[in-house]
Amino acid sequence: MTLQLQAPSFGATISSLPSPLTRSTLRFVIRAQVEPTEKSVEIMRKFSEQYARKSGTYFCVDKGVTSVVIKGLADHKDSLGAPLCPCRHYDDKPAEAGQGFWNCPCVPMRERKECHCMLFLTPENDFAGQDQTITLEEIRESTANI
Amino acid sequence: MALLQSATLPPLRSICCSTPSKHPITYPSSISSSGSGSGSSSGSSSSSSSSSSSSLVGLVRRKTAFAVRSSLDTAATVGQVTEVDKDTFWPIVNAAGDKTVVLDMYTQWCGPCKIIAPKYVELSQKYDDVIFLKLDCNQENKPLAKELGIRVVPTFKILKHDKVVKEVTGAKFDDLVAAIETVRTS
Repeated sequence: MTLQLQAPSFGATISSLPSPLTRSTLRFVIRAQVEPTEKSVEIMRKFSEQYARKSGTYFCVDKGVTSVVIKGLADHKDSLGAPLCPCRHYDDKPAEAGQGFWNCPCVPMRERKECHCMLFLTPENDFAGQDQTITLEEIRESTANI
Repeated sequence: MALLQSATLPPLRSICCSTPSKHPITYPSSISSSGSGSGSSSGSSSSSSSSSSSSLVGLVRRKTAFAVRSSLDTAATVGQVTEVDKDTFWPIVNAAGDKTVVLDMYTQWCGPCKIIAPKYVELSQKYDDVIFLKLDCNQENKPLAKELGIRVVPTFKILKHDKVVKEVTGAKFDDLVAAIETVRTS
Protein backbone atom coordinates (compact mmCIF):
# COMPACT_ATOMS: atom_id res chain seq x y z
CA MET A 1 0.00 0.00 0.00
CA THR A 2 1.32 3.42 -0.94
CA LEU A 3 0.25 6.59 0.73
CA GLN A 4 -0.18 9.73 -1.25
CA LEU A 5 -0.13 13.13 0.34
CA GLN A 6 -2.45 15.25 -1.66
CA ALA A 7 -2.42 18.98 -1.25
CA PRO A 8 -5.23 21.06 -2.63
CA SER A 9 -4.48 22.60 -5.97
CA PHE A 10 -5.19 26.15 -4.89
CA GLY A 11 -2.34 28.19 -3.44
CA ALA A 12 -3.65 28.88 0.04
CA THR A 13 -1.58 30.58 2.69
CA ILE A 14 -1.83 30.52 6.42
CA SER A 15 -1.87 33.83 8.18
CA SER A 16 0.83 34.16 10.81
CA LEU A 17 -1.47 36.25 12.98
CA PRO A 18 -4.54 34.17 13.55
CA SER A 19 -7.65 36.17 14.15
CA PRO A 20 -11.26 35.24 14.69
CA LEU A 21 -12.05 36.37 11.16
CA THR A 22 -9.52 34.14 9.42
CA ARG A 23 -8.94 30.46 9.46
CA SER A 24 -6.53 28.10 7.89
CA THR A 25 -7.63 27.16 4.42
CA LEU A 26 -4.81 24.76 3.77
CA ARG A 27 -5.94 21.21 4.04
CA PHE A 28 -3.91 18.13 3.32
CA VAL A 29 -5.66 14.96 2.40
CA ILE A 30 -3.83 11.71 2.82
CA ARG A 31 -5.32 9.24 0.42
CA ALA A 32 -4.31 5.61 0.52
CA GLN A 33 -3.95 4.08 -2.95
CA VAL A 34 -4.34 0.37 -2.33
CA GLU A 35 -2.52 -1.95 -4.71
CA PRO A 36 -3.43 -5.62 -4.98
CA THR A 37 -0.74 -8.23 -4.41
CA GLU A 38 1.17 -9.44 -7.45
CA LYS A 39 0.11 -13.00 -6.67
CA SER A 40 -3.57 -12.12 -6.91
CA VAL A 41 -3.03 -10.06 -10.06
CA GLU A 42 -1.36 -13.08 -11.66
CA ILE A 43 -4.18 -15.37 -10.57
CA MET A 44 -6.82 -13.02 -11.99
CA ARG A 45 -4.78 -12.47 -15.16
CA LYS A 46 -4.68 -16.21 -15.83
CA PHE A 47 -8.34 -16.56 -14.95
CA SER A 48 -9.27 -13.76 -17.35
CA GLU A 49 -7.33 -15.30 -20.24
CA GLN A 50 -8.82 -18.71 -19.55
CA TYR A 51 -12.38 -17.44 -19.25
CA ALA A 52 -12.11 -15.28 -22.36
CA ARG A 53 -11.10 -18.35 -24.35
CA LYS A 54 -13.79 -20.49 -22.78
CA SER A 55 -16.57 -17.93 -23.35
CA GLY A 56 -15.44 -16.83 -26.82
CA THR A 57 -15.02 -13.24 -25.68
CA TYR A 58 -12.20 -10.78 -26.18
CA PHE A 59 -10.41 -8.13 -24.22
CA CYS A 60 -11.03 -4.47 -24.84
CA VAL A 61 -9.09 -2.82 -27.64
CA ASP A 62 -7.69 -0.59 -24.89
CA LYS A 63 -5.79 -3.01 -22.67
CA GLY A 64 -5.72 -0.32 -19.99
CA VAL A 65 -9.36 -1.10 -19.27
CA THR A 66 -8.63 -4.82 -19.03
CA SER A 67 -5.70 -4.14 -16.72
CA VAL A 68 -7.67 -1.92 -14.37
CA VAL A 69 -10.48 -4.44 -14.04
CA ILE A 70 -8.05 -7.33 -13.46
CA LYS A 71 -6.44 -5.31 -10.68
CA GLY A 72 -9.85 -4.56 -9.25
CA LEU A 73 -10.70 -8.24 -9.17
CA ALA A 74 -7.33 -8.99 -7.58
CA ASP A 75 -7.90 -6.29 -4.97
CA HIS A 76 -11.21 -7.84 -3.94
CA LYS A 77 -9.64 -11.30 -3.93
CA ASP A 78 -7.06 -9.99 -1.48
CA SER A 79 -9.52 -8.25 0.79
CA LEU A 80 -12.56 -10.52 0.54
CA GLY A 81 -11.20 -13.84 -0.65
CA ALA A 82 -13.34 -13.64 -3.78
CA PRO A 83 -13.09 -11.57 -7.00
CA LEU A 84 -16.12 -9.37 -6.53
CA CYS A 85 -16.98 -7.20 -9.53
CA PRO A 86 -15.09 -3.90 -9.21
CA CYS A 87 -17.68 -2.02 -11.27
CA ARG A 88 -20.42 -2.14 -8.68
CA HIS A 89 -20.97 -0.58 -5.28
CA TYR A 90 -21.97 -2.73 -2.33
CA ASP A 91 -23.45 -2.04 1.10
CA ASP A 92 -21.87 -5.18 2.53
CA LYS A 93 -18.96 -6.49 0.51
CA PRO A 94 -18.22 -9.63 2.56
CA ALA A 95 -21.87 -10.64 2.37
CA GLU A 96 -21.93 -10.10 -1.39
CA ALA A 97 -18.72 -12.08 -1.82
CA GLY A 98 -20.25 -14.88 0.21
CA GLN A 99 -23.47 -14.79 -1.75
CA GLY A 100 -21.64 -15.05 -5.07
CA PHE A 101 -23.89 -13.36 -7.60
CA TRP A 102 -21.32 -10.67 -8.39
CA ASN A 103 -18.22 -12.83 -8.07
CA CYS A 104 -16.42 -12.86 -11.41
CA PRO A 105 -17.60 -14.41 -13.66
CA CYS A 106 -20.85 -12.90 -12.44
CA VAL A 107 -24.26 -14.32 -13.19
CA PRO A 108 -25.05 -11.80 -16.01
CA MET A 109 -21.79 -12.81 -17.68
CA ARG A 110 -22.35 -16.51 -17.24
CA GLU A 111 -25.94 -16.35 -18.47
CA ARG A 112 -25.88 -13.60 -21.10
CA LYS A 113 -22.21 -12.75 -21.68
CA GLU A 114 -22.88 -9.28 -20.28
CA CYS A 115 -19.80 -7.75 -18.68
CA HIS A 116 -20.34 -4.07 -17.90
CA CYS A 117 -16.73 -3.88 -16.68
CA MET A 118 -15.73 -4.34 -20.30
CA LEU A 119 -13.40 -7.16 -19.30
CA PHE A 120 -15.02 -9.81 -21.49
CA LEU A 121 -16.46 -8.46 -24.74
CA THR A 122 -18.36 -10.38 -27.38
CA PRO A 123 -16.84 -10.11 -30.89
CA GLU A 124 -19.64 -7.88 -32.18
CA ASN A 125 -18.97 -5.28 -29.49
CA ASP A 126 -17.27 -2.25 -31.07
CA PHE A 127 -14.81 -2.05 -28.18
CA ALA A 128 -13.71 -5.69 -28.51
CA GLY A 129 -10.12 -6.19 -29.64
CA GLN A 130 -8.52 -9.28 -31.12
CA ASP A 131 -6.76 -10.53 -28.01
CA GLN A 132 -7.65 -13.09 -25.42
CA THR A 133 -4.29 -12.71 -23.73
CA ILE A 134 -2.67 -10.06 -21.61
CA THR A 135 0.75 -10.12 -19.99
CA LEU A 136 1.68 -9.07 -16.50
CA GLU A 137 3.94 -6.46 -18.04
CA GLU A 138 1.04 -4.96 -19.98
CA ILE A 139 -0.97 -4.78 -16.75
CA ARG A 140 1.92 -3.15 -14.89
CA GLU A 141 2.60 -0.58 -17.59
CA SER A 142 -0.95 0.48 -18.20
CA THR A 143 -1.75 0.91 -14.51
CA ALA A 144 1.52 2.54 -13.51
CA ASN A 145 -0.01 6.01 -13.12
CA ILE A 146 -3.08 5.01 -11.16
CA MET B 1 -2.76 4.36 -17.59
CA ALA B 2 -2.03 5.20 -21.18
CA LEU B 3 -5.27 5.48 -23.05
CA LEU B 4 -4.92 5.12 -26.78
CA GLN B 5 -4.80 8.64 -28.12
CA SER B 6 -5.20 8.31 -31.80
CA ALA B 7 -6.73 4.89 -32.15
CA THR B 8 -9.88 4.75 -34.14
CA LEU B 9 -12.44 3.81 -31.54
CA PRO B 10 -16.19 3.91 -31.55
CA PRO B 11 -17.85 6.85 -29.83
CA LEU B 12 -18.73 6.72 -26.18
CA ARG B 13 -22.44 6.68 -26.86
CA SER B 14 -23.16 3.81 -24.62
CA ILE B 15 -20.62 1.50 -23.15
CA CYS B 16 -22.67 -1.61 -22.98
CA CYS B 17 -21.86 -4.86 -24.66
CA SER B 18 -25.31 -5.07 -26.16
CA THR B 19 -25.33 -1.61 -27.72
CA PRO B 20 -22.81 -1.13 -30.53
CA SER B 21 -21.90 2.41 -31.57
CA LYS B 22 -20.88 3.81 -34.90
CA HIS B 23 -18.40 6.69 -35.20
CA PRO B 24 -14.70 6.89 -34.37
CA ILE B 25 -13.52 8.93 -31.42
CA THR B 26 -10.12 9.80 -30.08
CA TYR B 27 -9.18 9.87 -26.45
CA PRO B 28 -6.98 12.49 -24.91
CA SER B 29 -3.87 10.92 -23.44
CA SER B 30 -4.41 12.07 -19.90
CA ILE B 31 -6.99 10.99 -17.43
CA SER B 32 -9.06 13.80 -15.95
CA SER B 33 -7.21 15.97 -13.53
CA SER B 34 -8.54 16.38 -10.10
CA GLY B 35 -8.43 19.52 -8.17
CA SER B 36 -10.13 20.71 -5.10
CA GLY B 37 -12.34 23.67 -5.32
CA SER B 38 -10.73 26.94 -5.98
CA GLY B 39 -12.17 30.26 -6.88
CA SER B 40 -15.89 30.28 -7.21
CA SER B 41 -18.40 29.66 -9.88
CA SER B 42 -20.00 33.04 -9.67
CA GLY B 43 -16.82 35.04 -9.51
CA SER B 44 -17.30 36.24 -6.00
CA SER B 45 -14.34 37.33 -3.98
CA SER B 46 -12.20 34.87 -2.09
CA SER B 47 -12.00 37.18 0.84
CA SER B 48 -12.45 35.44 4.11
CA SER B 49 -14.45 38.17 5.75
CA SER B 50 -17.62 39.92 4.89
CA SER B 51 -17.59 43.60 4.28
CA SER B 52 -20.28 46.07 4.91
CA SER B 53 -20.87 49.65 4.02
CA SER B 54 -23.45 52.04 5.26
CA SER B 55 -24.96 54.93 3.41
CA LEU B 56 -27.15 57.72 4.60
CA VAL B 57 -30.20 58.07 2.38
CA GLY B 58 -32.23 61.04 3.42
CA LEU B 59 -32.95 60.56 7.06
CA VAL B 60 -32.73 56.75 6.80
CA ARG B 61 -29.47 54.99 7.42
CA ARG B 62 -29.31 51.89 5.31
CA LYS B 63 -26.77 49.26 5.98
CA THR B 64 -25.75 47.30 2.95
CA ALA B 65 -24.19 43.94 3.56
CA PHE B 66 -22.40 41.91 0.95
CA ALA B 67 -22.37 38.18 1.50
CA VAL B 68 -19.05 36.92 0.29
CA ARG B 69 -18.25 33.27 -0.10
CA SER B 70 -15.90 32.84 2.80
CA SER B 71 -14.38 29.39 2.29
CA LEU B 72 -12.69 27.76 -0.63
CA ASP B 73 -14.20 24.51 0.59
CA THR B 74 -17.68 25.48 -0.54
CA ALA B 75 -16.81 26.62 -4.04
CA ALA B 76 -16.05 24.64 -7.14
CA THR B 77 -14.61 26.07 -10.31
CA VAL B 78 -16.50 25.69 -13.55
CA GLY B 79 -14.53 24.57 -16.55
CA GLN B 80 -12.90 21.69 -14.71
CA VAL B 81 -13.74 18.58 -12.68
CA THR B 82 -13.46 18.97 -8.91
CA GLU B 83 -12.78 15.99 -6.66
CA VAL B 84 -15.09 15.95 -3.64
CA ASP B 85 -15.49 13.78 -0.57
CA LYS B 86 -18.21 13.13 1.97
CA ASP B 87 -17.41 16.39 3.77
CA THR B 88 -17.09 18.78 0.85
CA PHE B 89 -19.84 17.54 -1.45
CA TRP B 90 -22.97 19.03 0.11
CA PRO B 91 -21.39 22.43 0.93
CA ILE B 92 -20.38 22.73 -2.73
CA VAL B 93 -23.83 21.71 -3.91
CA ASN B 94 -25.44 24.16 -1.49
CA ALA B 95 -23.20 26.94 -2.75
CA ALA B 96 -24.05 26.20 -6.40
CA GLY B 97 -27.26 28.20 -6.29
CA ASP B 98 -29.21 27.80 -9.52
CA LYS B 99 -26.38 26.03 -11.30
CA THR B 100 -26.69 22.42 -12.38
CA VAL B 101 -24.27 20.09 -10.58
CA VAL B 102 -23.09 16.79 -12.07
CA LEU B 103 -21.39 14.16 -9.92
CA ASP B 104 -19.34 11.27 -11.30
CA MET B 105 -19.39 8.45 -8.76
CA TYR B 106 -16.48 6.16 -9.58
CA THR B 107 -14.24 3.55 -8.01
CA GLN B 108 -10.49 3.08 -8.22
CA TRP B 109 -10.50 -0.13 -10.25
CA CYS B 110 -13.47 0.37 -12.54
CA GLY B 111 -12.45 0.13 -16.20
CA PRO B 112 -15.35 2.02 -17.81
CA CYS B 113 -14.79 4.85 -15.30
CA LYS B 114 -11.32 5.33 -16.72
CA ILE B 115 -12.67 5.41 -20.27
CA ILE B 116 -15.29 8.05 -19.62
CA ALA B 117 -13.09 10.22 -17.36
CA PRO B 118 -11.44 12.24 -20.17
CA LYS B 119 -14.79 12.73 -21.89
CA TYR B 120 -16.18 13.99 -18.57
CA VAL B 121 -13.38 16.55 -18.42
CA GLU B 122 -14.25 17.69 -21.93
CA LEU B 123 -17.85 18.13 -20.89
CA SER B 124 -16.76 20.27 -17.97
CA GLN B 125 -14.87 22.50 -20.38
CA LYS B 126 -17.81 22.70 -22.75
CA TYR B 127 -20.56 23.45 -20.23
CA ASP B 128 -19.21 26.39 -18.24
CA ASP B 129 -22.56 26.96 -16.56
CA VAL B 130 -22.53 23.50 -14.99
CA ILE B 131 -20.45 22.33 -12.03
CA PHE B 132 -18.71 19.00 -12.56
CA LEU B 133 -17.68 16.97 -9.54
CA LYS B 134 -16.31 13.49 -8.97
CA LEU B 135 -16.44 11.22 -5.94
CA ASP B 136 -14.27 8.18 -5.26
CA CYS B 137 -16.74 5.69 -3.77
CA ASN B 138 -14.24 4.16 -1.41
CA GLN B 139 -14.63 3.13 2.23
CA GLU B 140 -14.08 6.68 3.44
CA ASN B 141 -16.90 8.11 1.34
CA LYS B 142 -19.26 5.19 1.85
CA PRO B 143 -21.78 7.19 3.91
CA LEU B 144 -22.22 9.70 1.09
CA ALA B 145 -22.36 6.98 -1.56
CA LYS B 146 -25.07 5.25 0.45
CA GLU B 147 -26.98 8.50 0.94
CA LEU B 148 -26.94 9.26 -2.77
CA GLY B 149 -27.56 5.64 -3.78
CA ILE B 150 -25.34 3.72 -6.15
CA ARG B 151 -25.13 0.19 -7.46
CA VAL B 152 -23.61 0.38 -10.93
CA VAL B 153 -20.24 2.08 -11.24
CA PRO B 154 -19.93 4.66 -12.66
CA THR B 155 -23.15 6.41 -11.79
CA PHE B 156 -23.74 10.06 -12.59
CA LYS B 157 -26.03 12.11 -10.40
CA ILE B 158 -27.38 15.41 -11.64
CA LEU B 159 -28.47 17.89 -9.01
CA LYS B 160 -30.28 21.17 -9.07
CA HIS B 161 -31.31 23.29 -6.11
CA ASP B 162 -29.69 20.84 -3.70
CA LYS B 163 -31.65 17.83 -4.96
CA VAL B 164 -30.84 14.87 -7.19
CA VAL B 165 -33.07 15.32 -10.22
CA LYS B 166 -31.58 12.82 -12.66
CA GLU B 167 -29.31 9.83 -12.69
CA VAL B 168 -27.35 7.99 -15.38
CA THR B 169 -26.07 4.53 -14.53
CA GLY B 170 -23.10 3.16 -16.40
CA ALA B 171 -20.58 4.85 -18.67
CA LYS B 172 -23.22 6.01 -21.14
CA PHE B 173 -21.87 9.21 -22.55
CA ASP B 174 -24.78 10.11 -24.82
CA ASP B 175 -27.27 9.52 -22.01
CA LEU B 176 -25.18 11.71 -19.73
CA VAL B 177 -25.08 14.56 -22.24
CA ALA B 178 -28.83 14.33 -22.81
CA ALA B 179 -29.51 14.35 -19.08
CA ILE B 180 -27.28 17.40 -18.53
CA GLU B 181 -28.97 19.26 -21.38
CA THR B 182 -32.41 18.47 -19.99
CA VAL B 183 -31.62 19.65 -16.49
CA ARG B 184 -29.62 22.76 -17.36
CA THR B 185 -32.35 24.06 -19.67
CA SER B 186 -35.15 23.32 -17.22
